[in-house]
Amino acid sequence: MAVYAAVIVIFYLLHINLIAYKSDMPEADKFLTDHSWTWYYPALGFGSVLFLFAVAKLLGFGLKRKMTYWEEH
Amino acid sequence: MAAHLLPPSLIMILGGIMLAVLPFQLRKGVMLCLPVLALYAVWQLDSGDTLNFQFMAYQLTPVKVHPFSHIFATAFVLAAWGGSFFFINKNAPVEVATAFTYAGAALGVVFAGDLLSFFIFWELMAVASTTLIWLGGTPQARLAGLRYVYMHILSGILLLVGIAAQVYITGTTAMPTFTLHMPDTIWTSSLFLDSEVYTDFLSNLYVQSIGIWCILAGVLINVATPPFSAWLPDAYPEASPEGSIFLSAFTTKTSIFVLLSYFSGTEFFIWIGLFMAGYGVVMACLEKSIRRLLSYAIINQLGFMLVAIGVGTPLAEQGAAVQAFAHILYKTLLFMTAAAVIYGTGKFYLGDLGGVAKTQKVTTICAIIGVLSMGLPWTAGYVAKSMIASAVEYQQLHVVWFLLMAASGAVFFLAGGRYLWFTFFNHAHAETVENAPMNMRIAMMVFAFLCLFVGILPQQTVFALLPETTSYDAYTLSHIIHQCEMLLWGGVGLFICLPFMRIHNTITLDFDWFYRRLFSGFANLLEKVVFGVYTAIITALQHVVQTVLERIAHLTGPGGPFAETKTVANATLIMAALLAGYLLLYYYT
Repeated sequence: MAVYAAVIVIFYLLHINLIAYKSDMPEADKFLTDHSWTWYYPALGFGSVLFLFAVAKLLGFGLKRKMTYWEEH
Repeated sequence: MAAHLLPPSLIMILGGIMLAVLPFQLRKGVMLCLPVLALYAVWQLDSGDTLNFQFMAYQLTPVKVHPFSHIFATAFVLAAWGGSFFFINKNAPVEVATAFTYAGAALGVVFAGDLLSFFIFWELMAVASTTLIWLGGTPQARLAGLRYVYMHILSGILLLVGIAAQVYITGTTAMPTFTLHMPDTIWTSSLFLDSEVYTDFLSNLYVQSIGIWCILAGVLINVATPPFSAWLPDAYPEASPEGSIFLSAFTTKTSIFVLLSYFSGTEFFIWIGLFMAGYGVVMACLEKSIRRLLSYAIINQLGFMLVAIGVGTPLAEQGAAVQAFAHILYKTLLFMTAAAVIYGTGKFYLGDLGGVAKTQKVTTICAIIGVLSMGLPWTAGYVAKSMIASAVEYQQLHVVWFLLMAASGAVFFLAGGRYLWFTFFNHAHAETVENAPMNMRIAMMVFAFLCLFVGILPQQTVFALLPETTSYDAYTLSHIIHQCEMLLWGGVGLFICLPFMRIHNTITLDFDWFYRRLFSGFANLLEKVVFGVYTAIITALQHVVQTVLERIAHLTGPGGPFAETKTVANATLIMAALLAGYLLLYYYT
């Protein structure tokens, strides 16, 4: 876990220093080098997993059946 | 026929038929040589090459090199080679022959230059894939194969109707680039409010586009577009583990080739694709069978390709083709790992697995590479997804881009992460785990290597197969950092979710519930109603007939009025009355 956290921190540091590499980026991406947008990609990754897992859980209440469902029906 | 126009499809199909009768040891060698020969034939074909011959009133073109033929055909041949190597030690001549015929038919579609050849190869692919499912040999495989057949018969009929309409309208069997006549107002209510627009739309739809819409509908069924998506996770896992490897590579990607070549830029694909991307993740997250889980991940990845085809710019088209190529590589690899796990444990539900990593180390490493190939930098999938994301971004489709990235991050963990964790690393549930045989391990290692090789050197590998050179660079610092950040934080999300992922073996209902339960329930109800009405009518008729017969019997039987002895006077009176009645009847008519 500590290694994982360290890697996250390293990438965060790389990200906030990306501003130095603006010329390297596509035009549409450049707003993300603004410091106020450093949360964007982490939030996208973290949020999408949690959100879609929650959707799956909710749907699971209605869609899950026991293993013999199709034999019985 | 020029030597360099040897049809790759013919090599695979005829070679496949030959494999069915060859002795086991000889078959092994031929199985490995045929895809190499087919690959040589593919690479000998130059852009624009055609092979024509006359058949009745039509000119058939079984070989025509389309812009994306090379990249798809190369991926198909690689998948066929990998699948062959994986089950080279299995003595199943019919299954091998069917698998090669299937691969050959897919190659046939990719190189078809006219609608008739296209339809013939398309149907051959459906027949071969159905046989491959049935060769799974279980009662479930038989039933799943039947449902697969129904769905593909529907697809085939739509395609046939569409082709017939197209030939009737254009007078030629040549493959055109289809243009859907869809007014700009289709997505707005004005279509339904403005009668002139509506009439114009309908007349265009009927006169020019009905054939094209039918062809499109037939192809979309084969891409597993919801609500016609359930056939894929229903049928693929029921084939033999080796058969699933072949099935995962061809049908859907052939359909993607058709959409990419003939329907590129059709805008509504973007929304269908986004739905598929989300639907695939959610259903994969609910699934407990490893091969069904991977099947839903296929639907998710197909969604990315559809979005790219819908965007339709040159970069998006190239992204769709590269994604198809990469997807064939890493999905073949993942299905190989699943087959190796099933071989080693005899189990395929997540609840019965776990701890496989201790015994099957090579399988575990290859599975990790397969999952990482869904999007980690320096893997094949990363390059493809970056191209698609950039193409979407450049078109200023911010919502689409956001949803696509969300689905991309989520499938990595909710499908790939779950598969890895509960199969290889969780507490062991399987009692005995055997290691995979050497041929399986080599096949997996080759595909793991290809996933990395294509990812590290895209310019020299997959980009070289594209119709036009691309200067796209997926490895800009910003791309790499953003992607890694997203995945790292997605991993944190997975760690949080893991305790809530209780793995009890259950099944998950899908759109198949409608035709397996609702429609069959409705059919049963209809049958009961019709049978009840029929029984009631028959019973009533029987009752009436019986009453009449009883009455006649009563009248004419012993003791009945007609059986009584009458006097001559009475008889004469009756006869006179009858005669009078007849005269009256005659007079008034």
